[in-house]
Amino acid sequence: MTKRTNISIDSDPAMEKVRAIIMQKERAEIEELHYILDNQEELSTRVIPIIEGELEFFKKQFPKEFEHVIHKLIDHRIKESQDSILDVMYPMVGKMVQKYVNQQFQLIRDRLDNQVERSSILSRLFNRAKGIKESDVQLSELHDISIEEIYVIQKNSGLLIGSASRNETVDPDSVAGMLTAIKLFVEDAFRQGEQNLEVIQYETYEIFLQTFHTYSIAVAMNGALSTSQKVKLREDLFKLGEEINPLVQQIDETTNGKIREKLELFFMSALQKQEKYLSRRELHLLSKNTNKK
Amino acid sequence: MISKKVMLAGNFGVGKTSLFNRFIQDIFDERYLTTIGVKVDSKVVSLDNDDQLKLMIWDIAGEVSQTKVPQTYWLGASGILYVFDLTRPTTFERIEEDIAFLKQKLPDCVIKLIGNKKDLVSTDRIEEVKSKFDVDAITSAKTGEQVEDVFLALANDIYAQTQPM
Repeated sequence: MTKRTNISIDSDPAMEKVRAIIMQKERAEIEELHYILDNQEELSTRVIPIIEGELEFFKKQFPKEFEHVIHKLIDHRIKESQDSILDVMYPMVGKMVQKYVNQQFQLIRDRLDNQVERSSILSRLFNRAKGIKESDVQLSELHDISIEEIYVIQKNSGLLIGSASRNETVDPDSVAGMLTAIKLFVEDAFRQGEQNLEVIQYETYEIFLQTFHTYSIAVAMNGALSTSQKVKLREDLFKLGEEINPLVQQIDETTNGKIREKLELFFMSALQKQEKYLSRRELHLLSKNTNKK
Repeated sequence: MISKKVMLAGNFGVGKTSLFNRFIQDIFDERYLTTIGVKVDSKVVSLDNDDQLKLMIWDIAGEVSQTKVPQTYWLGASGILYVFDLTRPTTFERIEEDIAFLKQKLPDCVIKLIGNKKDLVSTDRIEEVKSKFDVDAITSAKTGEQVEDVFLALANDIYAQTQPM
């Protein structure tokens, strides 16, 4: 029987030499690869062009590959935030329509003025003969109107989002609820589609309602508004709507206070305008009395 | 404070306005005055967890079927008290259909079924009604029995629904 020598191939120096000769090329390549991988600069110069190429390809292919996904996402987002979008759009569209109506009114007014000018010369002469000043006539045409209360009401549910009042005499929650009930009742009873109830009148008291997409603003006034004053008030309410839109989107326990601040500012501005008008009138009456003396 | 809209629904003459007046003002009037349109009032209630909730209660005109109520009235409601008259079987003939209609219209709304005018019926009648329907409360607007309790139970259920799970 032949005896087998038990020498390990791995530890045999001759075998190691043979292995080194055969694997020389591969070992050199592995060393180079290690050098590249360990050296960031070397790695960058090789990898960056590949990434850039892929990115370029991705940029070109992205619209084609992901168009339907993006469209779906956008549709979903629009559906989800439909209320917020509409709330933002309402005052903007309202303002545009208001601007157009104002321009048309101005055109009609200009035309009427031209026509009336001739006939009014006679009445002016008549007034002057009687000692009545033109400014007195103009001032007498203005009405004394004061804003008493203002409410921001959640549409349909009638829940009060915020309010401000000059006297705090009534329960604003009940008023908001009842106003909504009346509004819904009238709109439902007359089935006027998308039309909204805009004014509720009670003797000298008038409640002006401006409806937005998810809420309404109700302004209670003492005194009746003329058409031009209604146009102005609507403009102001659209501006107010823009300010309170972000607050109405997320109603929590702080919303009422924040909206109240905005409404109080609105009140102040209305008061200032009224005081300005009153002081003008007082000054005018004073000068009239002085002239008489 | 959180506000929630609550509706009083049911046939005409079942005592919705009497329950409304008893709860809001703690008064009762023997005269029957039919409700025209809607009456809205509010009341703040203290919940079991000591939080407070403002209930905006809409007392609407009674209708034989709730499908006849102006549909916009239901919008935004968080709770409904469906009232029937224990003395008039005609007022509980449509309970199932009406409740099904309301659940379909307002899936997240808390609905409670109330048999009113307890002071006018016998215990046997109450048991008979209870065996037929899943009644949440038997009330008497006249004596005030169970009135506050049923509004409170409704408020607690509404509040619980608004809390994250």
